[in-house]
Amino acid sequence: MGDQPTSDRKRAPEEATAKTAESRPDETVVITRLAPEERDGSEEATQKLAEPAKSSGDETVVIRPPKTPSADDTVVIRATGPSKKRPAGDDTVIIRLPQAPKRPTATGGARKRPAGDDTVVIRLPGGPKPRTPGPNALSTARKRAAGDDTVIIRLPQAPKKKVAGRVVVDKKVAHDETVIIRLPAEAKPEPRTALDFGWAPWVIAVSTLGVVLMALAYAGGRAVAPWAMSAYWAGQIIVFSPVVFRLLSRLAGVAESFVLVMGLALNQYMLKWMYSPDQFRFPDELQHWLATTLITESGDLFRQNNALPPAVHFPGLAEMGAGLALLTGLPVTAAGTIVAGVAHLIFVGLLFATVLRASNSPAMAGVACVTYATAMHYLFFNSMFLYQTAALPFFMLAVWAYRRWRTGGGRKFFALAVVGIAMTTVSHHVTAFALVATLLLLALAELALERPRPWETLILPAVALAVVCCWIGFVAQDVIAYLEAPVERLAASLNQMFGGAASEEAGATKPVPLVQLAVQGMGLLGLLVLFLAVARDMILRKDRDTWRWAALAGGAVFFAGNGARFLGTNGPEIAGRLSTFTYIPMSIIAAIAIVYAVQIIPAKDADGRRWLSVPPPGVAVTTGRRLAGQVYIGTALITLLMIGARTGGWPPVSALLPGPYLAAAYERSVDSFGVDAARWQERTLPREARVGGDITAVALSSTYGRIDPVREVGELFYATSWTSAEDQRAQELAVNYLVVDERLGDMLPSNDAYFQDDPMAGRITEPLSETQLGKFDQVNSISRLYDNGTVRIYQMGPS
Amino acid sequence: MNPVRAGVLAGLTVVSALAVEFGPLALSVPGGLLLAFVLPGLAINDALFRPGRRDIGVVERTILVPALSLAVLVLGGLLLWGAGGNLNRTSWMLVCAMGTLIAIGVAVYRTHTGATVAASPGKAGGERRAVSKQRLIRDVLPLALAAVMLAGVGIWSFADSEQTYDIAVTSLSAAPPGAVDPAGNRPVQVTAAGLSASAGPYTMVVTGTSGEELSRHDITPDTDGDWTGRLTVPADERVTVNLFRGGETAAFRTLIIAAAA
Repeated sequence: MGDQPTSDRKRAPEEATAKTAESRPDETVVITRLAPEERDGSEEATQKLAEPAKSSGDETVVIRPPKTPSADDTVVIRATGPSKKRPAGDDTVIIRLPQAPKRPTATGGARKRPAGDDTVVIRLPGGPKPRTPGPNALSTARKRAAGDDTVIIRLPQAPKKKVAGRVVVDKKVAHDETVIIRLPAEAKPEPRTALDFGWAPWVIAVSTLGVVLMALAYAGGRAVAPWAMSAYWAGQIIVFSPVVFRLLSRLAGVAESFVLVMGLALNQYMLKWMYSPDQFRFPDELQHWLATTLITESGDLFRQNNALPPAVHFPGLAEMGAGLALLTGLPVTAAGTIVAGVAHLIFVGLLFATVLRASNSPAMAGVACVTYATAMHYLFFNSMFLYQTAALPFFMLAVWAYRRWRTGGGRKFFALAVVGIAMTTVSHHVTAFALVATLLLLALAELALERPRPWETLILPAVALAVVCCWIGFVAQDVIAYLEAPVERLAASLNQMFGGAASEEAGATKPVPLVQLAVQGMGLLGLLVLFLAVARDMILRKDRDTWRWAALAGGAVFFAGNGARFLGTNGPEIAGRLSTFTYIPMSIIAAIAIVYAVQIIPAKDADGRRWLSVPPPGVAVTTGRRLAGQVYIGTALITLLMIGARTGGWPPVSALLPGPYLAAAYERSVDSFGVDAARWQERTLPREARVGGDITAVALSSTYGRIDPVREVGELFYATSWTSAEDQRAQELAVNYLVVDERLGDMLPSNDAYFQDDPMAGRITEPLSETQLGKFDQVNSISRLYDNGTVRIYQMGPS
Repeated sequence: MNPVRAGVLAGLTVVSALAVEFGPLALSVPGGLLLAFVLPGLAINDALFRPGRRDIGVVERTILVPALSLAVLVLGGLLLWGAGGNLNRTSWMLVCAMGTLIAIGVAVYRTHTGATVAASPGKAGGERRAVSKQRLIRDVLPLALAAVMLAGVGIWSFADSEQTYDIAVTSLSAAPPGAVDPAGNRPVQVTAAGLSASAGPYTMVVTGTSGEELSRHDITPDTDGDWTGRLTVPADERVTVNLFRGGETAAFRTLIIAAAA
């Protein structure tokens, strides 16, 4: 993530990468920063990979792939004195050795490599202080005789037979500061083009087999087949892990990585869609279905939507859905499904583009994206037909454009960032706030680290703040009241936790299963280890890359946000929603740690310090078995994170598969009986009618039914008889109709509560009784106007 | 943007607009998808980033196309509505099509005014674009396989879900009763829906507060399984409407109409 404006100006990352490392970064040998005059575009990508190794001194290494490969594919690294100038067109690799050592061993270069250790270390001679070689530095110079200036890079287990793609050391020339690396003559790799997809199509095909398995699992779930859950987990892993494995191998170029990432995003969107392909079932999706339908019917924006009043003033998603529905003639459900899918893919694509632009490493961009795919709400919540789904791609657009603007892209990127800000602001409130915070963080990091201070970096956060404030101030004032409630609950929870206030939510949460906790805990612990390793590495290197520091700060917020899990009943939801944003920098940090193989347990330095030892210069580039080990461990860790996200994210474990009706279980509670009752309300009742019921009934009534929902009716249901107290409560709530689903008497709620603001939340030990559900039939003033055998609708008060 | 590309893009825009406005679903779907996700973004891309310049990569260009198209849809819709317009099919089609054509114009203008821009290196290099047999096997075959699998499981999953959840619901309902007439009665519109002819015959029995039978009706559903009729019930009684099925003695569905206030 080197902050080098010239690179962004000169060429796209995929061009740079294609021309330098030929998408074989594990064979790239880079040590330190080049002098600016020696750079050109082709070196830039390589140089950026080496950015973490930025250190003082002039120990320069330039590697130039030969334009005309020799017959035996040998690359010669010729060490020259600093005064020598490289002739134009010379493809020689130059290692600038400041001062040739008297004794080569004093440089720490020669060391016996233990068997099985695939790490190769290069120690440049003439360093001010001899150091003990670290376990994962770059290469090893071995068997150097005194006076022999040759540096040999011996890659592990040099095969007798030349293996395709493996680099072996072949020659050592005495009295010559030369390194000779013989590339395998056989299986000469074809020159990569910008659209070389590599193995991505086959990997995606394998991943799609997982989608097929998931479709079977969902069908099994609907049929309550016992094997369905096994098929579910197998399918999830087959969809996800092959892509991760390939990306972690670091062999994929830009095009391949991009295809892998987008293919995975598409396959995972299919998993979401296939859960309920025939209709929206999640309440929030239904709310936005209504908002979209209102636009298609009236041609007006900002029409009242009783199901989700704040969404009225954030019409981005509804406009997209309505526009597509009207343009194509498709139903709103189909248009919404397409819009959500496209928005999801754009978001992932822009995340990839942003990390690629910041790191110039397709491996890192890919790994960051697949790591982000393990976010709690990535699979379902962030790809549903919700206003946040529409805002997220433009959040990333603004961040990407900001990066391009700050690295010399010019005004057009500033304009694109403003478009991103505007789109985010009109699409979703919380995402808009998160965008302001993100841009501010990036700007502050730049201000803190750059000299002279680039004050102009504050322009874009200021614009974002102004746009958001104007929108909320002039258009969406009601969002303040909407967000007040969760903020107050959060404050109350904090007060309970730190201020000793009495809890009003005792017993309000069901204990999380131990296995689920263990999986999530292990995943979080793994992330924490990576985070700390990167933080240590950056601090000791005196890293000054602004975006890496911003990512680190964002990663810290991610861990702080996870603490919100423990703040009352809404804690997990707040933590999950917060992680949508904070997991982005955390994914980047994890990608840095994994791709650059940042030392988790560093070796001791010459002074015997382990944790304070300065990391060895250079990027740890591993090959062979060590790389394979990293790939396996990395794949296992990211797959573990994915499993943790599926068990802790949405839908809850009890509803991972579609299936028969469950009480108060959101998607799993929407079936024909509830929908038919809601349709009847839409046909029969006046729009201003206020209708109460359980969580599902309210969601359906306020969307398909288009009435005014009353959510706090729990007390009316829990009463065993209808007394004047219930009558008074009904009048206070001004409720006109009650929807009673008799299945509430058959099963406990899946989510600890039958009703929103349920007075019995977390304390429900048995289903509602027949008396509780049947009392409405005994009240003279209450009419039963609808009955489908499962759902009944009562009119309150004399008709 | 060269004239040929501009012409093709403009032509595609016009054809898509016509398909959206006048075409059947088979034409309006691709036309609408192009106008919503592709054409505006493509044109703005070309207007912003001239071909041959390396200031933006292929990945970025690819992603910007749908992103900018959606931005035109949303921000254009907002502007149109703010200007007093109505957001219907025609207006949204015009927003997208006009946005695209304007961007094409800008792109062409910028190309003419910036003629000194270097030619694209990709083109200069004569990059081979032909699909080789190897590439066909390596790239196209697996991607086609994946697409076929996705389409297949998508259709199958849709059908399975619909089959599972789309069950017939039999309901009995009444509209809120009307006003009381001088005789002390009031009309109630009662509807039975989802009746299966094979499960019949159906009988509706209306009883008063004390349980006495007020009226009895034989229900004959129409071909859709629906029946609707107007009942006249005493306003001062709490009336129960029971629907019986076949020879069953227990009511199949029940309504209760409270006495008028």
